Amino acid sequence: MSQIPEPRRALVVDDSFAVRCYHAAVLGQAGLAADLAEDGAAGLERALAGTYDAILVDVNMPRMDGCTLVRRLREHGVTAPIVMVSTESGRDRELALAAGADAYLIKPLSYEALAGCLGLPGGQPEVSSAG
Amino acid sequence: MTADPRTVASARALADPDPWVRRGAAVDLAGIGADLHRGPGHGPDDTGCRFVVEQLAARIAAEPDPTALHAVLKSLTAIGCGQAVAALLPYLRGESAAMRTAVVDALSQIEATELVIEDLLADDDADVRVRAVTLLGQMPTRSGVGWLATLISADADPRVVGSAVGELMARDDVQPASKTDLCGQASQRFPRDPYLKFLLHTASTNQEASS
Repeated sequence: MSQIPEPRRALVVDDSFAVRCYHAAVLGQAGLAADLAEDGAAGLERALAGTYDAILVDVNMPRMDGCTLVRRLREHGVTAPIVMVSTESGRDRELALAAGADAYLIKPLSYEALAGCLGLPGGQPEVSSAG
Repeated sequence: MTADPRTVASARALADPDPWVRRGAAVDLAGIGADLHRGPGHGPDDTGCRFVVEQLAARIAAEPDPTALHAVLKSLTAIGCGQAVAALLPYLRGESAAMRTAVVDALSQIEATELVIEDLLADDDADVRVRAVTLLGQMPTRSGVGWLATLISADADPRVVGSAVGELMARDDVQPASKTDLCGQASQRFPRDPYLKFLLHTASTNQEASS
């Protein structure tokens, strides 16, 4: 009997429940199952406890902001691609990339922009990505 | 008003080289400021605690130690007067996400913030309006739904409208039909926004399930 492959997993860290659900839906389009965390501290715990193919992180969150979370994740040796997704107009972009994010996208997240960051089919090259 | 010796000593200790001393000074000033603010004959914006607030406010930008900074912000929250709110507001526009997050958290715990929230929601800077929506979401105010509805129907920036709709969806005090209606308004104003479309679909589904 052939083994069923494990689904690719992503972690969504955002303090808005609506945004977490939306990002999970977009990740679903890309074939990634999503785990959810409601702030930076919960995201750190979750990310260190599991293995993820991608991590989506909001910038402004209670308990631990997104830039601090990304820095901590990199300090802990997490190598998964990290995409910062912010409602801000982009003024945090440099800080996010310096903290260790691979790309910075402005909400609303689209499948094409996310796929572009993660190298998935149908992706659009993003002006805001680190690359 | 001339500050008493204990207040002056604590204010001086805010600049001590040892962060634990600075932290202790902030805690001490919180007690002094709160007593002055709530003491007999003092109104919500009395000048009694101005000196204390000024000392703490000056420390926000200068404080390099996270625990001492946390103590300074917590002290301003504990004092809770209009001057404390005014001292915190500039940091809502700051470059540091960590600072903005901490300031939103502090402001959300001060009752006097309610007096400035409407101005923040109408700020010229859309990023500040987005942060004001986050702040509104963390405050216990009942007026929040009306303000969110105004943003949804009138704000020119889809990011602000998206934040307002997201906040509205999280509220238990809004009927499912109202959520669907307001999501519909937002989606009509910005028909190409996939997030607003998703929320309209979610609101409609929730409304059907609840009827």
